Amino acid sequence: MTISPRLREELLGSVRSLRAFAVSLCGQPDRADDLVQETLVKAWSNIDSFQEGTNLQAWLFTILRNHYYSEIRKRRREVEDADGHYAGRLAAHPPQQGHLDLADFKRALRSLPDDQREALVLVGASGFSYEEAAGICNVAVGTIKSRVSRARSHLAKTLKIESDSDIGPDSTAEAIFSSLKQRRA
Amino acid sequence: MTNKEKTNGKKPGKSPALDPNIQAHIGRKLRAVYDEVATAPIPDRIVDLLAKLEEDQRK
Repeated sequence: MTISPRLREELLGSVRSLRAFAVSLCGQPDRADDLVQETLVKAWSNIDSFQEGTNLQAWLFTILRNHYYSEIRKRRREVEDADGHYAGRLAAHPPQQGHLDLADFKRALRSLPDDQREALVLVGASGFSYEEAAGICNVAVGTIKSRVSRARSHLAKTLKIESDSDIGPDSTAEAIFSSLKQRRA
Repeated sequence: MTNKEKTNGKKPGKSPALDPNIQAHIGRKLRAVYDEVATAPIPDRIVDLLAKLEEDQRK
């Protein structure tokens, strides 16, 4: 097995975003670094199956994601009711008023169902196209688009985000809700 | 609010129903959270692992 200097540079260059993605998946920095290490070992030993010239970052993200979910399946087989989980978190945390700071945002992000959070992060932060994100998650492009859209709506509702206008948070949220209802009616 | 909003039958692929300003706001916060990790120094244990992998390759 040999790794070309160019591929090596690309591998090293992907480590930072791999870590950020891993944290967004599992929520724990230490566990995230375990995931990154396990991913790098797997990638290194399977580098022959990577087609140079294709998207290395997407390949690494796919390995990390698959590894993460197979670990979860191994650890606990219980089925999580994503909607129930979400509703529980909402009840536990009263709606945030006023300005949106990063701690509020992180909490809201963690309250998203896993599939929505990862879709949002891949497209909105890691810089992947919808098509690439669909490949990483092994679902249809439309599924990714729908998950991203639902993730944004959930975040907006949870955080009662103020728009750029002068209206307060509550009326902003109401405006969001009514606009959602209108569009989906 | 009803559950319809959660399980709406909207076709995937349509543009998001959110105000563009709100969407941009969420995007900025999301990238700020992500970049907290993505711009941090790589921990020693990962640097060490990479060095070891490279060393093994040379053998």
